[in-house]
Amino acid sequence: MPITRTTTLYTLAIAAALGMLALSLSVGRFPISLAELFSLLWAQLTSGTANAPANADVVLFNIRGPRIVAAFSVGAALAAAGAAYQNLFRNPLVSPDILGVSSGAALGAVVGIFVGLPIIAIQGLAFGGGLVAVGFIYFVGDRIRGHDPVLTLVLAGVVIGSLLGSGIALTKYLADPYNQLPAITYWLLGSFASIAKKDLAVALPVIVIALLPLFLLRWRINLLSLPDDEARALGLDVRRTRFIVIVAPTLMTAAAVAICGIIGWVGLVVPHAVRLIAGAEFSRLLPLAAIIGGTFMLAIDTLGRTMAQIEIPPGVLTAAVGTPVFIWLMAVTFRRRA
Amino acid sequence: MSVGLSAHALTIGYPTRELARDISFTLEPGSAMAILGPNGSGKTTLFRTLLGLLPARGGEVKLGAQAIAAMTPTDIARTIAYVPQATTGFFNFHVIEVVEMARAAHLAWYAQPGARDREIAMQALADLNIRHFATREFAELSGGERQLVLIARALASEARILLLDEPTASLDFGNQFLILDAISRLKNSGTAVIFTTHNPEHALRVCTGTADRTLTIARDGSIAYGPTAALLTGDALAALYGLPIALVAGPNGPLVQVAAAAPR
Repeated sequence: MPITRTTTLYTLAIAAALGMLALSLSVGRFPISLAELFSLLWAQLTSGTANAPANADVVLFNIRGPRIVAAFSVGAALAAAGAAYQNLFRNPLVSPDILGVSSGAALGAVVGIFVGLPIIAIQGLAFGGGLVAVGFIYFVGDRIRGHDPVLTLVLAGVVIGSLLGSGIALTKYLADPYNQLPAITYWLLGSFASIAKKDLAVALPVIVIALLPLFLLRWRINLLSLPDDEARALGLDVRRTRFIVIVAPTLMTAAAVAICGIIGWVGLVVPHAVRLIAGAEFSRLLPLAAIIGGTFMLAIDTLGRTMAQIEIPPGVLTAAVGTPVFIWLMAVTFRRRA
Repeated sequence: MSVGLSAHALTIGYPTRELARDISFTLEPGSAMAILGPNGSGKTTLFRTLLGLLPARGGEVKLGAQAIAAMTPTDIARTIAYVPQATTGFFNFHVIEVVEMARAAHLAWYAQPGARDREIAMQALADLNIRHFATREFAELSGGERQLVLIARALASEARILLLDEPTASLDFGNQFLILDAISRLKNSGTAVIFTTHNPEHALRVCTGTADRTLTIARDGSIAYGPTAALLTGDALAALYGLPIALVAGPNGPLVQVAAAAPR
């Protein structure tokens, strides 16, 4: 890939992200014009007064702002996690859910809702549930030696994931259909509507800290996509690198799912699409996937809160947009390979 | 510093199964060794043992005077390079990116290849006359071209010993000789080369020097080792593969002829 093309891609991605950010901050039930937006931001920076309607600052900094930061960082986290997992599992059709982080988090949250815990405890259960599920699957996969370790992990993930799924189904079946079941369904569809600053205070640092090892290992992760023997012969500590590349995306995904519920597709479609455009090289793929994943998620959420009288859950919109895009990508790539 | 690779009464296999024992050989810089044996005889296992990926069940592998078992994976990777059979790989990397992967053993865990690494990778491609492949996509190359790129990757690791796993398997007739000649050139430039093959003529073609050797592993794990032309007689090949094999003199060396196989 020529350097000029890489620079162009970064420029376009960053421009799209900034444009989407500005658009998303200004549109909504309480429109804020671009001029008012910049005035508000400037006032915030300089502690001055802004030339904007009353309450615009509350909308911007306490309601819309946190929601936008959440949507962008969750999208970026899921896309980065998906990109890493696709390399780890040597399969471009893998999503961050493959090791059960989402099902584990979902079961935790659903049980929390069922038992009637406060929001913060539900979030904690979701985060913990995701980590426990992946930890258990990794433990099982690591115990069963003497076979392709990646395949063992995938199989363990699929089986244990479906067990968690039946746990979710059982809880839904037992749940009170008037109060709990709608809450459970709402959570499983994912939403950024109720994001507050305090949700971000925990989730955002986790996402950023977990991105760091992925970013540092970004070139070496390329070697993980080779067969184990080949990577080891090239001097890669495969077991340790694989462990880091399982843990970091798990933390990111669990933190994302804990604050906004299950968001599908972003972690699968965005890295796959970026790989088609920018190539497979991971040190280029990771930042681009994160920026584009964040922008995509922000676009979906902005669409979801503005296109109709009621909010359309991002889980519904990502699937509605993601499915045709994904089928198209599959057709294009596989036809090209044939 | 020129250190050879040697095996001393090596026993190879897995914890539950021994494949072959009493493997001893010495490979000098600038020489080649061919490994022949039927499928499942342990050629790949021997490679994994030589690379330090699999512990030896007995005996030892040495680099110069140093035992492989006492070396770090990074040090081994800088000295011995492994050239796998060319597959398309899982993702579509560019050729230069594939070759640069060899620099992993020379870089810190958080580092990316820099200008010097790029230069070494380009030089490795140039050494094999495939510099113009650099910006092409690996998956779009032919099997023989991919095999050359993987050899270039081994060169870019600056290893002095190359282990090639069936480099001519699944290649068309012309590409097989392209690769064999590349191996001969590497050998002549001072690299030590070990390669496995299913074709005795390939061993006879490459291993022509006085320091060159051939190692055969029979299905029952018995080992034969020696100068190639002396070792690969018609009778020896007949015993190795269980076929009526005879060598006939050809204009450029012996040719392997197989009489109609008796049903086994």
